[in-house]
Amino acid sequence: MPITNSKSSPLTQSPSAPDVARLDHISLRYGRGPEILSDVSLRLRPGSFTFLTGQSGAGKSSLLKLLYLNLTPSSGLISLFGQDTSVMDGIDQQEIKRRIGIVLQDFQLIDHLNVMENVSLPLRVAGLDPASVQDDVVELLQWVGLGDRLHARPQTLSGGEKQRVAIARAVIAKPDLLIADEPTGNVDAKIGQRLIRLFTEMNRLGTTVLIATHDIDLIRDNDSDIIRLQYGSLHHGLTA
Amino acid sequence: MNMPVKPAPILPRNSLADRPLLIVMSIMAFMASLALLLTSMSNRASTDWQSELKESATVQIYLTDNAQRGEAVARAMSILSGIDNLKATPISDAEARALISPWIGEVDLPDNLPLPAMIAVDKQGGDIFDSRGLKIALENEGLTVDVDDHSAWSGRIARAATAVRIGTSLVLILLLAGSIAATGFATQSAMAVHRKVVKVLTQVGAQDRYVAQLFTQQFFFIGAIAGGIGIIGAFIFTFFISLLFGGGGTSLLPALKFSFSDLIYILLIPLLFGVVSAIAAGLTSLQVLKADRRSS
Repeated sequence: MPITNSKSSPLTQSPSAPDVARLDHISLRYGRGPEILSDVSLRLRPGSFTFLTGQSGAGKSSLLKLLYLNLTPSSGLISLFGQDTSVMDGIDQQEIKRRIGIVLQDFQLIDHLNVMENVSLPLRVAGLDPASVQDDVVELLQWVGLGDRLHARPQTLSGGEKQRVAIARAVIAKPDLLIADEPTGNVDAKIGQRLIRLFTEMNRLGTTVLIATHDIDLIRDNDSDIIRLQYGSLHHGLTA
Repeated sequence: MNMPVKPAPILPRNSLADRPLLIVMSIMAFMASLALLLTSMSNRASTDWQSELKESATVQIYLTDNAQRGEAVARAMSILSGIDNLKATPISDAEARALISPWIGEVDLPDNLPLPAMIAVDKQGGDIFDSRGLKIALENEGLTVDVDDHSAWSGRIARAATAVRIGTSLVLILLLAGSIAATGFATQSAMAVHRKVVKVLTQVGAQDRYVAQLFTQQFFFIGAIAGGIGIIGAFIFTFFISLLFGGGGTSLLPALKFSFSDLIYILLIPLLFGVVSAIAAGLTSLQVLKADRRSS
């Protein structure tokens, strides 16, 4: 039976709106290795806020990679925004990716670009003039506490600062789906709460949010859907 | 409010990875410039020389006795001077001996050797040269003559110029093919070096053509800069070769001279190398991105 998140923000679309993401009987293995994910089904309703948890090696990152089209499943179907990803060509896939904001554990910042340039990258790719969005970028960076690091290069930033740059880049284009892998893993509790407030605010404005985390306190402090990956299978709630 | 500043290019400029390509492309552009210069110079020399040859002929009067030389030349000159649009000039014995010196060297010829008497004939406008009519008119005066209108030379020069043109065109095609291959390899290498940038761009939804365009622009500049370096090198090389060795002409062969009009051709080299590099980089990066997607 598929796991469906039911809680939605007041601004969610009508019940007839397609799922933001839908996984049907997904299995995944790398090459001839063991199965990482086994018969996983999941629906992310528009406007939902979901925590994905599970032990290290449970397959959380692999599940997220499937959702942002970095991997293709060994079997099963994935639909994003109502479209079957298995029949998409490269152009359609990239169009879909523009609707998804991603925060990865290794940040994936571009070394020769400064903080502002890294954050504005999705807007440049979307064809917007970087000068016209500069004020928005600065405002967002001030919100995540990096107002004084606008022109710093990634190699001069701490782990927590890099994390916040990656988050700012993921949310700057106001994505329909935000996927974050351990977004508060490298920041202190105060900044962590601030980032979660940012995610909550975006969710309130309609963005569907999926956060993978180990941080049980973070999960308990937020009234959101919780799904748990264990031995390659999905379960509801924190405990079996 | 911050003052808007021009953002840094998404692909870093002056990457160390680009230098080998810049060197290889500069050498290729240098050779292409030399090939074009050689074609242009030899074409001009050939055209000028053929034009000169078509305007002139040489009348050779065969003698059995050197004592007849003066009288035979006088008879021929009286006929030639009666023909409109012709200017006839007897070639002295010393000049005739100088003309055959390339074949026999600086040897003193015996005075009684019956060298043919020669008269240079230059056309002064009017119709094309009627060498056959001229020969008949002179033979009617009892002279044994040959009229060389240089058509054999002219044909050989034209064939030689065509051979040079074909040869240099082939060299240019090979150089451009080499440039395409080198740029293809360099693009793959650059994509490997900038793998992280490509990965991030793909993650934030950049279409393949957007990523390819970045590499296209980058390699257009590398090709154009290499082309510029190549033509400067070729210009300096040609200039010094001209200074050191002169034009290289002889009494029989024309000199290959550099003209500033040759620059028109080689100034196209940076554009040509830029465009070729851009196309090669664009196609290669699209292929690599497509292959990457298939393997994910």
